[in-house]
Amino acid sequence: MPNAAAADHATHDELLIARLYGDDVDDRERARALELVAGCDECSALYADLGAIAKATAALPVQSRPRGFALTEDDAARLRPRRGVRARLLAIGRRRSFGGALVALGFSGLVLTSALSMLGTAPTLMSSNARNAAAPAVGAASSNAYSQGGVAIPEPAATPAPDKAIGSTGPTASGIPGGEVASSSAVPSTPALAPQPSTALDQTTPTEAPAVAAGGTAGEPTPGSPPVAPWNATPSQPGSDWTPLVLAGSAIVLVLGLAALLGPIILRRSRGRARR
Amino acid sequence: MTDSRAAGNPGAETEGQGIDRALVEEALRGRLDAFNQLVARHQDHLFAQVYRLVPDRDQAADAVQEAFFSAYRNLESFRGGNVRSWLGRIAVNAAMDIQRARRRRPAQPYPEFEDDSWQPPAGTEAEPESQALAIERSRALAQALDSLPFEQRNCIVLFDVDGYDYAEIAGIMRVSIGTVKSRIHRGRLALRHALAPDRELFRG
Repeated sequence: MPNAAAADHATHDELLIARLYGDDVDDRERARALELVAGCDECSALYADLGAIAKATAALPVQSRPRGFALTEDDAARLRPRRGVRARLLAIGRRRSFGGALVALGFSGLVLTSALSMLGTAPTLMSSNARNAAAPAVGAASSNAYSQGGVAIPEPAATPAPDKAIGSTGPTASGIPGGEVASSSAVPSTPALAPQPSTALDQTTPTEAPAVAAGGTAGEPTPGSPPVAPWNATPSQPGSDWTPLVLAGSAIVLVLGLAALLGPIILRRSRGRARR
Repeated sequence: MTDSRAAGNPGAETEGQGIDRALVEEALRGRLDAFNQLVARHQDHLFAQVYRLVPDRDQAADAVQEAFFSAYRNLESFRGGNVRSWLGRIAVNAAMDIQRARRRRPAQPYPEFEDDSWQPPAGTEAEPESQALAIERSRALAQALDSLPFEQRNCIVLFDVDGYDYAEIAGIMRVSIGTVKSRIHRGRLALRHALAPDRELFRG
């Protein structure tokens, strides 16, 4: 009954026999496959053929190599990893995640710093710039005072107390005829200023410096000068001067990230064009 | 390559790996002769491996040369382990690049089998009749292998000839283990189908 057997075999799963040969069956499939191999001559022959072919494949004769593959000095020089900027760029570019991280960092730095500066610190920055523009002569002195954590305290010209104001800069040094810039440590030790410190310290913020510089007195803004911020307004933080630096740094990081991501692609394309 | 499937005894294998790693370290220090010693140690094996994937001697030689170039260029990326397997993976990838090019520009497969001067290596089948049968079998098998899609052929050769396991082949070919198994099983069935006219050669 060969025809009946062949017809039977047509319904058999040959892939299951191949999987049995490759030991890629679970217990149920193994039982079914072994049943086929035992009960069907075609399946049995298939299983035997798969074994014979695999054995013959493994025994395919080895060809001798037509030449040696040792590298010459020229090959080595051509293939040696380059240490130039281009090679470094390529190496960085291979690490796409690194480039992506740089781009994300730079972009978020730009966005966050811009948003913060627009929401809170931009006016202060502007007034700071205006101060610098209006009183370039006092800029250095007042900046010095800020950097020391002190407060610019105006003082009448008639009350010179250079010997009592420890750490203060004299009128000559500061260039301000009507006052001087004193460090905060000098305030309590100056009797002449006794009535003033409470108001001066409470009301005078660094943003008032331009008014003082323009010749006014504490708490009295000069006409035409920017309005004085109230005592409880957000003070101008010394850190806000870092905003442009943070922005510039973020931009640099962003550009570096983009270069790491896109540089190798552009280089590869240009190489491909050159080859063509 | 899985040790149980690889030929050779484990002691010699470990010693060989130690020599290989020492040569890699020397080559990393800039000694070209150390790298060329690596080449000398592995070029026969790599050529045999690649030749089964790319059945054209010149193209196989090009693939092996490219593999050694690539190995030298990327020597710093070698993270330890088996140098032979590392080189093998590079060579297989180089062979696959050649195969992709061949698919666009087919060539005569295994021209050496048409050459009467070609003889299989002398082995147990020393009798002339057995040798003639072996040559016939190899010729038929080589042509049948070449008729397979190269993804299937690569998987079969890497598994049956080079002794890689399913997971290693999946890593080399960057596909899932299930895909590798499927390619091997279906490839074997296709190979048997292609060998139907010469089936008796394999049943002796």
